[in-house]
Amino acid sequence: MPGMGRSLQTNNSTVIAAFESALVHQGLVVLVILALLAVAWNVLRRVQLRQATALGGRQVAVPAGEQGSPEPAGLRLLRISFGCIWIFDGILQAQVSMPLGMISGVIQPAAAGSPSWVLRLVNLGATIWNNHPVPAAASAVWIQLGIGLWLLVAPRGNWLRLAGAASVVWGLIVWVFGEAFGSIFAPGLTWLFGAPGGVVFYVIAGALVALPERSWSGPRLGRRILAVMGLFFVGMAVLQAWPGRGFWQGQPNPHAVAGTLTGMVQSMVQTTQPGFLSSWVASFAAFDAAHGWAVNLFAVATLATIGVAFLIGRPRVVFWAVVAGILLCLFDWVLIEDLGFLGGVGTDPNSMIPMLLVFGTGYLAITRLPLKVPETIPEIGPTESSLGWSGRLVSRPAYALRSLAAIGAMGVVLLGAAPMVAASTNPVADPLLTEAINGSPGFTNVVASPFRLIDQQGRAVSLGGLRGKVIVLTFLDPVCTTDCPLIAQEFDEADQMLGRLAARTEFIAIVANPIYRSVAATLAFTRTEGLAGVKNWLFLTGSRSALGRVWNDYGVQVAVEPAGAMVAHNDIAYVIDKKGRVREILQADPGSGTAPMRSSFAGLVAGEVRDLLATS
Amino acid sequence: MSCLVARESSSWGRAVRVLALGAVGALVAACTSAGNTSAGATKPTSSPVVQVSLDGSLATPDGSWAVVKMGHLDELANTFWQLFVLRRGASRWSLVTPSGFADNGGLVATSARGTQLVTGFQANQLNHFSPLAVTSDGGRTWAPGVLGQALAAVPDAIAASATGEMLALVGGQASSILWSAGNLSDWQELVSEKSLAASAPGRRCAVTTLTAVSFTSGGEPLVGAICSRAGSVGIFEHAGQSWRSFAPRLPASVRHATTQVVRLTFANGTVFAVIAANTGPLRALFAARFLPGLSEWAVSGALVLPQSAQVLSSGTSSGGGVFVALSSGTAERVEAQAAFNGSWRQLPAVPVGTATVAFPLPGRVDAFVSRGSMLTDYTLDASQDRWRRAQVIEVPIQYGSSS
Repeated sequence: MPGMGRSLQTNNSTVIAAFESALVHQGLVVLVILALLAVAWNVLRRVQLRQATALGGRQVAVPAGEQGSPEPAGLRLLRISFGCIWIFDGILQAQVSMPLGMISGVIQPAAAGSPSWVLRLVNLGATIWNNHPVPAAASAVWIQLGIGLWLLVAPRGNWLRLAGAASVVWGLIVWVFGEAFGSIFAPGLTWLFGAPGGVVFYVIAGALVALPERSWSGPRLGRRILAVMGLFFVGMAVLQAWPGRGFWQGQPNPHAVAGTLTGMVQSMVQTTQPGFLSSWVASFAAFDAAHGWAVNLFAVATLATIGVAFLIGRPRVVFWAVVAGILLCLFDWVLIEDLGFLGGVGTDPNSMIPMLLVFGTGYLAITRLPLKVPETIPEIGPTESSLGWSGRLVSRPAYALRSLAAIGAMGVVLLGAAPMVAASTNPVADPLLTEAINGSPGFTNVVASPFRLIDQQGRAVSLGGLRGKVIVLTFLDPVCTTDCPLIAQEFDEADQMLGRLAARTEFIAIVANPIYRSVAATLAFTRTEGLAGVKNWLFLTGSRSALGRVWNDYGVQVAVEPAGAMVAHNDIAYVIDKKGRVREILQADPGSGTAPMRSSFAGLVAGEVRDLLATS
Repeated sequence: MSCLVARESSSWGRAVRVLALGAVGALVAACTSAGNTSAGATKPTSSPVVQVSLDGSLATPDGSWAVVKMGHLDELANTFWQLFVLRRGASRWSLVTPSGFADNGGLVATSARGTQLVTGFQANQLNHFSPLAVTSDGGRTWAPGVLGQALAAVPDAIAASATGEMLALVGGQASSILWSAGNLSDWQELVSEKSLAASAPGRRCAVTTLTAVSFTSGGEPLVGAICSRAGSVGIFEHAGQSWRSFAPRLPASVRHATTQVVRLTFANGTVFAVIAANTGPLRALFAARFLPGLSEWAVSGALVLPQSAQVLSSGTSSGGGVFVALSSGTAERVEAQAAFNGSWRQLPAVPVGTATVAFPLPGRVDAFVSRGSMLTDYTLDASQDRWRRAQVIEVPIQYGSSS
């Protein structure tokens, strides 16, 4: 009924079922990948065994360099921690509210207040996600799980560097389209709330992992990491101290406007979370409300001090700065960011944990330098560096296992990326969106009831006269203020999708208003909806009795409501084949009427028309 | 709210008017001189002098009609404009809102051919043109019509002549006037705002916005406007194939004011206008009545508008006058009321929450209080100093039906 248009809720059961189904199906593919890898591992082991037998027990020499020395502590920290975080994020992406909640719950809030060019850019990604929420959400799950696994299992060397590069690429995509550049272009930028976005640290970590391993051999890399983090902390301290941004005030009384930090923390209290955490956050909100100035002074001073200490770069100074930084980050993560991932649409643990891992890596990189392992003199057989990848696969079981696992992880990433790429190249929204509101089309095969009515130009039109064309038929109120204009736009969009096939299709609306049913009304509707130039658009009307018969034949209920309300009628559409038989019945509630909803319905209709033109 | 009611006396109360004008003039002079700048130097503005609601009432030979917005007034989608009629000879008001269209965008009404009432609906939400409806039997039955475009959101967006010709003011930023010979679904453009602004009288006024349409007693189209040129009043008559000024002359005290035609309506055989003037420090309303016999306007004294006051409702009275009901700018307190027949007369303080008043019969004044779906009609008792509840109408508003 007009006026009853529904918008898709994040807990829409159809979408959730489709999302779960997609995850299960892709999970089965992952199992197949694992099975193939197991087979490959088995084959490799046989080859290794055969080769070992042939060599008579001689070992391949342990080479110097990358494979021979222990893994640098900083690199190991980054690889393992960010691998785990990516996996954690992938699991968070599997929350059922993600397909429909990601845009409204994550991306739009992040982009709010950003300049128009940022909004336009973010909107590109949001459009893809909105049009294809299930493939997009499922892709995010597998890509992030895959990158996490890849970082964890890849053998050192190119496999690991490639994993770092993948982390950089996906991290940048998430930072731009999912976090709107971490809101750095929006007002209210602050370290306390997570600026410049947690994913920036994923990107930094990925870039560090992607460096050649020799970069970790001296303290220079660590000093650079600390210098960058030091500048960042000092900059954030200045920003935090900047007057007029609301951070120096708390909330002296309940009627006063809350300061920026107080307001933020108060809003975090509302997040769905364990009671103890809510209590902690509420307590901090109350403390900040009472002592806003002091809290901000503490934040500014601590950030500046840590930053300066990082810039100094002496290990002893840096050690205490790292300790202070970890404490500050944990404090902020719990009491201000509220762990970052609670509430149903949290996609990551926010910035604090990744940040402390990066500056912690900087500290390790200047204090825990890799030991220099003396080169092993090969006694017998080839050196590893001379073996090449295939040779190492065959000769080194551990390397082979990790390489196969990395291939598997890469396969998981590709498993996620492929549907994402396909979705981004398809401008037509998934039919699932309209089916989520209207249910699946009903298939039938009955003779369409005949009618003879008048079109918007005053010409007589009969159903029989349109034989040979596929007809999409609906019922619209020409003076409807809500659904009917949207349905007409959906028809127009479907018409455009059909391209040349539109010439063999007729889009027909029949008036569903017993009062405003004149030709002038249908013509006014046609013109104001921009359909006057659509050659295969007909808006038919007739006498009250003629219309009543058609309504009855097609199951359309029309009710005139009192006191200035819109005429109520059900939103329904029929697809009639070239022989005049009804083949499909679609509920046509346009929902919220968003572009993806219109595209979804139009795509569904266009698809049905194509099928009928091809078969009937 | 308080109302100044059309005084039925034959005198224009010359002395009162002179005093009122003198007072306004003195106030204007004091305010402008204090700023060491003349009113004539006030920067012309294209924004309306005063906001005008669609609520109101009109008296026709066949009865009186009231337009009242009801429902959840803080939700646009659930605010429905209702039409009530007090038919000639009846003592109680009836709900006669036309069906078939969601009127939660607004509703305007005008009398036609003496016995008809034409209503126009504001296009709203995703609808982009205005349906119309006409009744010839006091709202019992309605015949539909269609305007191919959207009516402007002003109370005098449609008008009908004594012979049945019609005018409609359509559009927002680029408005125009449509004309119909009487068929409610057959309209053609009479003039666009741009063309009218480019005409000689339009240039003299520096038309910025068209605000009203009406007819003269001779059936010539009239158009009201906002003038940005100080001292001009934007009422234009379509005489022959050209436009000429049809404006009254406002008192010298506001000769430097920008003006807005708030109402322009043909009733009881003559044309009435309500004009808002803004000198900068001062805003005032003037009521004007065209005297066909003398071919001149009679202009009332100034009704000084308090700061932030808005016109809550307006209309015509059965006795041959116009009224305005003013909000004070505060929540429910409506401080001033107005009416016209040469001078403004203030009615006793109306009931709290009054949406509009109506003057259906000589000596009878009704005040309508709208609360949700309930309309309460109060009438002024014989002593004209107390309101008493006369009628309660429950309106079957279909909340959530039209959004």
